[in-house]
Parts: sequence; structure tokens; C-alpha cells
Amino acid sequence: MVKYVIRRFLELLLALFLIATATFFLTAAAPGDPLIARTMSLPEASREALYAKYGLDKPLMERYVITMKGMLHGDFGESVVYEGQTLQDILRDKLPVSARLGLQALLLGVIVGLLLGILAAIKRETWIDRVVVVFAVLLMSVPELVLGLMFQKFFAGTLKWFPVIGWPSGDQLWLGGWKYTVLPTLSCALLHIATYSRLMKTSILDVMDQDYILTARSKGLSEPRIVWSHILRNSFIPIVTRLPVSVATCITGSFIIEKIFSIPGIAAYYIEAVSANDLSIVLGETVFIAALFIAVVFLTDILYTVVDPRIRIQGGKR
Amino acid sequence: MKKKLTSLLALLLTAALLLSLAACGSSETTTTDSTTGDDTADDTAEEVTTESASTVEQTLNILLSGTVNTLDPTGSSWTGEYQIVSQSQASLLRIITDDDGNDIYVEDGCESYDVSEDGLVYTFYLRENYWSDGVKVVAQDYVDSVLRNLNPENGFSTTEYLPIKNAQAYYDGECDASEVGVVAIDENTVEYTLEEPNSTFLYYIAYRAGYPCRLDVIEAATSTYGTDVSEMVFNGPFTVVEWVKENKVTLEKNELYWDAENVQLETVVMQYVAEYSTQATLFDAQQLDIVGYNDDYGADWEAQAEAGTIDYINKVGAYTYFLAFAIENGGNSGLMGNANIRQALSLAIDREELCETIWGRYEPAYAFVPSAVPCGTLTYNTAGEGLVKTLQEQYSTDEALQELFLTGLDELGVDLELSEVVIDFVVEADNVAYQTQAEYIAQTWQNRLGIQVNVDVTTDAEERQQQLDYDVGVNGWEGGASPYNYLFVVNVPYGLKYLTGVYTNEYVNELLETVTSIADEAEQAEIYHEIENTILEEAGVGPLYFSDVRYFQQTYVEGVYYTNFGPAYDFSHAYISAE
Repeated sequence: MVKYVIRRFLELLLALFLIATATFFLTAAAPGDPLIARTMSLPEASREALYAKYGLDKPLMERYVITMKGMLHGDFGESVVYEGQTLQDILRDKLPVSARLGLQALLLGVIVGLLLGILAAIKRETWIDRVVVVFAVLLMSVPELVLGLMFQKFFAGTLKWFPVIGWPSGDQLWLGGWKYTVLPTLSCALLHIATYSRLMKTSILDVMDQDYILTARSKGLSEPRIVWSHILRNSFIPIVTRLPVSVATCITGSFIIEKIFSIPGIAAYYIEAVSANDLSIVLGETVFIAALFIAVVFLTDILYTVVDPRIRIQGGKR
Repeated sequence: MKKKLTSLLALLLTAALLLSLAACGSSETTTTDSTTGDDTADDTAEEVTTESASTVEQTLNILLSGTVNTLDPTGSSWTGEYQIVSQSQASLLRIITDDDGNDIYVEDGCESYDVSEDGLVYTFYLRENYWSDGVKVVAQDYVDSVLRNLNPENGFSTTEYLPIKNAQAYYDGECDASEVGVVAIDENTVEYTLEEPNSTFLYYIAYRAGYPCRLDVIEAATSTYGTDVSEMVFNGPFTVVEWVKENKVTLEKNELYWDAENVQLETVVMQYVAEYSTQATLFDAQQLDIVGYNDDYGADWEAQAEAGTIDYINKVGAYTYFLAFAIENGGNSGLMGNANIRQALSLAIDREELCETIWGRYEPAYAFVPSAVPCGTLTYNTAGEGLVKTLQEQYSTDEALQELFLTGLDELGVDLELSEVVIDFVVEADNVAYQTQAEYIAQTWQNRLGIQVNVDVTTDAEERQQQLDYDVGVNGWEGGASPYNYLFVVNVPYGLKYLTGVYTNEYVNELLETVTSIADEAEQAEIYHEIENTILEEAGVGPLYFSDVRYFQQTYVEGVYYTNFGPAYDFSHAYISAE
């Protein structure tokens, strides 16, 4: 196990290095000059000073070496768009915003989704099952954009129950300012509800058909005990292994929802950085997101072995 | 038992939903005391309608539009940045509008100013004004600002500063700071000396060159000055208290501003809203006080404005749209080099009908410089007037126009009947409205001149124009607050080649070289008219219409200035009425 963890960790570092290298050269090869908008009306001397400041006057390979050296110390360089701003500043300001939205949505989505999934499985072939299935398919087919705009127009515009846009800041960044978070959270959560209700139902039905459930029944175990100890416990395996990826996805935000509700999150900023050719920030955010996902996949692998001892890690004892 | 379990699940499900709703419900009390700007935003409208004027919450909610990368007055160059800088800093002069909606300059950082008779020396007598940290604004702050701008290491745009004596030389490192034409005569007097008279200089002062700076604060800042508002100082009507990048800017009234007693707004929330539909929802819910015209919602809002439930601001803008001809090579037809042919094409178009029928907006253009553009402190062109109108009266019939066109053909030695002439009208494919306009103009030429017009809808119209691979196209241009900024662009080598198909005239060149150094504004305006009329007599361009500025505003908002050459809106004297 220890050997496995070390090997996976080294693989993770290699993957990050490759991703950083690919991102650097791809962004460098992308058409457009990140400083052109800022410098086109500047006199020559001012223009040269700016290019020198961001190291853009140096050859590509030299820039690559400087960037990689900086990365080793967690320094991705200064934003080309916002003078003086670094990746750390941007993550500090914007990541909590996206994370709160994502986690709220995930919490609501998973709880409601799982309950609906369990209900649909237990009430298989009844109207409840059919309603849940139709509901899930419907929610999965409607894009976030449409849901968000509909909620905004109806609940905020017409009924005026909630603000149209905005997000809590300052002391209320993590707790408080709930009314601003309701519509964005709902818009994001519905997809989770649909996904997890379907997943839970399918998983329960799989387990219910297993021989050991029949055995449990034949042994005369009570129905709640069968459901709780045998069906649910085993049904949660695919859920548990899926959750970390959902968490990572949530933390890194939803570009569309952040855009619609004017939420100052990391996802919207990432897109802005790409369109503004803000190289250091694009590189930094890409590496950050990649690291997060790689770590999550790593954790998921470990989790598999914890929740389901039948799954053995390659190279482990057989 | 199974039924009980189902009931339990149903109960849990209901509880989860109720919990989430309860969390939402409890928010009302949680956020009442919030310090976030948003809390005031959504409650404004309700309070406006229920409270008396004296107790109405003075919060203005507007959009944050365009790029905002820095709030350093000397370093800002985008319109979005200028919108914030202009309201949080006091330049020597402030750009607002008069009762007719025309831009005017009023004293802001100074209480008066003198201009020497030769137009070279501008002396500003400062008001008693303070920075937001309580330090007095002094003349040296203005001098420091100029020198800071002209330091090439800072990477600032220097355009507005270059008329100052030795500005270029100092920038190039060829002279000492003491030789630059800006000096603090005493603590309350700053004097600018120019290289040569420049009627645009007051505009430059109001727009950017007249902002002071505090070197001690700039040097003490731990991050680049202008990117962290907590390290900045302000001397204007408002201070910037919050700037969430790409999202929101919150301004609060600056109690230390010299005219604070006439600044009524306590808070201004500028929110970046990308989606037009969200902007519309916000405006309809009175959570946004001013919104720009949008084709999807404009008609509905116009109807509301007619019913008096919102206000509609519609004024002449500073954009000129005009016919551009491939003059240098004569175009694909080989005819565009001839002035009479170009003139016949230009005069054949009924500008009023074009504006009304095709656009349902805009002001017909009979000159090239929009009526919104002043010449110094003088009005330059008058709406609805210009040489094109005079010529149209002269060539009012189809026969006269055809005669003019035939004269042109004779001059070129081209032996063609009018019906055999084919003109290539190039138009960009991604804009349906422009295609409709092109069809309308083509139809007009076919009917009035009897020629054939090939409307060439293409995805590379601009490139085609650059290569002079066309006959006629419609282009647009917005200069600055001087006729020079419009007229120079028409005439190559000064101007932009592709905009006007390389129109060039030696006489116009000579006048352009000397016109800016004329100190007397009336005399200068005369020369500008001479240049403009020379171009129009030769139909170097065919002006069609001037743009407009269109906003919708809640009826409870008063006192906003919509400027053409300053910020999109100046709200230094705006307020929320009890209406």
C-alpha cells in the first residue's frame, strides 16, 4: 500500500509537470499578444518597459525555464491584466466564493438526490418511481443556463423573493447572505439531484437483485435491517467513489452560473483570464485545477479499497 | 414495515427541502446588518416609493462596463476605468453637460483659470480640496502627476500630456524635469506651458492630464498603485471602498471633497452583469437604475418611457458613419477616383429617409464632424446643417445627379451609358442591419442614377477595403473632442488609409499642419470648416448619419450627466428623488 501511494504520488507530480509544460507552450502559441491592448497606444519606450517587466521580451525557452523555476516555489508570476495581482491573491479572493456555491449545491443535490433515488428504488414501478425518473431526465436535459435565467426571471424578477444578482462578501463570505445564494445554489443543485437520484436508484436495484439479499431474507432478517445493513451499505459504493470528483468539480465553480448571477468566483475569472490572454494566471489556475483533480482521483482510488475490500490495488497481495 | 420506511424517507426528503428553504427564509434577518453593498441594492426601489425625499436611501445602482484593470488616474486608459476614476478623483476641470446635453468643462480641482493671449500658458488657481486621507491637494501634486506620466518606465499613455512644452523631450530623456512646461507657482497655483497653442488642451486637462497624484502614497503602496483600493487616496466626489475584480465596484461619498455638500448620493454600486437578460431583469425589478439600449428590450422600454414609467435618454453621439470610396485606384469599377461621380453617389442619398426607414434612429449627417463635437469652447457644427445639404439642394433632381455622374464619366474618358455602370458595394456579412442599409442605398442609386449596383456581402469587408478591392463601403469613425480628431483621419498621409480609400489633398494637408497652432478659437473653427468643406466638395467621404447615445433611467434618478467625451455618465450631482 505504501509503495502504491508513493508511486501514485510520483506519477501525480509527473502529470502536473506535463500539464504545466503543455499549458505553457499552448498559451504561448495561442494567437494574440497579452499586452497588445495595454500597449498599442503607448510610445515605444513605455511599451518596451512593460514587455520587459513581464519578461515577454525574452526568448520562449528562457521564459519557460523562469516560469518552471517560479512554479517550484509556488510563484506563477504577476497577472498581465491586473498589475501586482498574483495567482495566490486571486485564489484567496475568488476560490472561497466558488467553493461555497459548489459545496452548498452539492450538499443539497446529494441529500435530495439520494433520498429520491432510494424512494424510487423502493417504490419501483410505481408512480413515485416514474415521477423521479422523468424529473431526473428532465433536469439532466435542461442546461444550467436556461434554469438559471428562468429562476432569475421568475423568483427574482417577477416574485422578487430573492435578489437578481450578487454574492455575500466580507464577514458573510462563508456563512450569511443566504438570500443571494438560493437561486445560484438551486440552479447548480438540480443537476446533482438528477445525477445522484439516478445513480442511487440503479445502484440499489443492482444490489437488491444480489443473492445475498435473498439469503438475508431467507434468514428472516427484518426489512429495515436488510435495507439498512445490506442494500444501502453496498449501494453507496459507487456514490462514495463518485463524490470526490463532484467535490472537486464544485470547488472549481460553474462558469455559467457565476456569469448569470454575477458571482465573483474562480470559474468566471478563469474564462476572463483566458480571453484576456493573462498567461501567468491561466497557467497557474490550470495547474491548480489539474492538481486538485489528480489528488481527487488518487483519493478515490484509495477510497475504493476502503469501502469495498473486494477491490484490490494493483501490485497488492492477491 | 416497508411502508414505514417509505414514510420515513418521504419525511426525510421533506425535512431536507424545508431545511434548505428555512435557511433561505432566515436570510432576511441575517443580511439586514450586512456590510455588503448588495444588501442596499435590492431594497432601494421599495424604499424610494415609500419614504419621503429627505429620507430616501441615496444609493445608485449602475452597470460596470468595459475593462477595469487599474484605478490609477494616470495609468487608466479604458473607458470602464475612466468611468470610476472620473467620479473618485477631481481633475482641474470636470466634464459635465449643459441643458442642451452638450459637453462642457466646469472648474473642479481649480476655482478659476487663465489662458494667456498667445494660447501658450494655462494658469490654474486651486481650490481648497483634500485627499481622502486628510492631506491638502497642492500644486506640486499636479506637477508630480505630469512627470510621473512622462516617465517611460511607468508605461503610461502620454497622448494628453504631449502638448506640454518639452513633454516629448523629457519622455525621450533629452531634458531635465525642470524644463518640462509644468510648474507649481505656489501651493495653490499650477501653470502649464504648451509647445504651441492647442484648443484641445482644456479637454485633455479635464479628461486625464489634470489629475493630481500623491507620490508618497504611490511609493508607500505594497502592490502596484491603482490595483488595491485600500492603498489609494481619492480627491473626488466619491471614494472607492470596494473593488471585486471583474465583478463589482462600490463607491461612497467623499466627505472631504470640496463640494461634498452638493454630492447627495451616499453609495454607488457598479456591478458587472454580462447577460443582457439579467440586466433587463435587474432594470425591470428596479435593482438597476440606468441601462443601455438593447435591441431585445429597447422597444418595450421605449413604450414604458412613453407611458412615463421610466426615462429615455436619447442624444446625438460622436460617431460619424459615412460612405467610403476606393479613391486611390478608382475601385473595381475604375470610377471612384472622380470627385463628380463620388459626389453624385453621395448626394443621391436622402439621409433623413435612411435614418427613419432603415434605422429608426440616428441624426442625418450633412457634415463630417458631428454636432456633438465642439471647437474649444465654441459650438462647431449645427445639427441638420452642412455643405452636403447645400449641395443636395443644388442637385435636387434625378436629372441633375445623372448629369453630374455623366460629367464624371466624361472627365475620366469613359464611354459608358449610366445603365452600363456597375458599382461594387462591399458590406460585412455578419451584420444584417448593414446589409439592409446597403440594399437600400443600392436601390436608391439604381432608381435615381440609373446605374447598376452589386451589393457584395462578404466576411472580409475590412480586408477588401484595405486592399482597395471595392468601390463603395460604409465606415464609421469616432474621434475626440475636437474637429481635428475627425478631419485628420480622412486625409492620408495623416489619416487611416482603409477608412477613406486613400483620399488625399495637398491643400488640406497644409491646413492640417497649421490649424492646431492657431490660438483664436473662432479663427481655428473657420480653418476647420475650410478643411471640412474642401473634403466634402470633393466627396472625399460621403457623411450619412451621426450615432446616438441611448440610455433608460429609472424616474427616481435625477441629475446624471450623459457626456460624449467624458465618462458615460457623471453622477457627481445625481440623487434619488422620492418619486
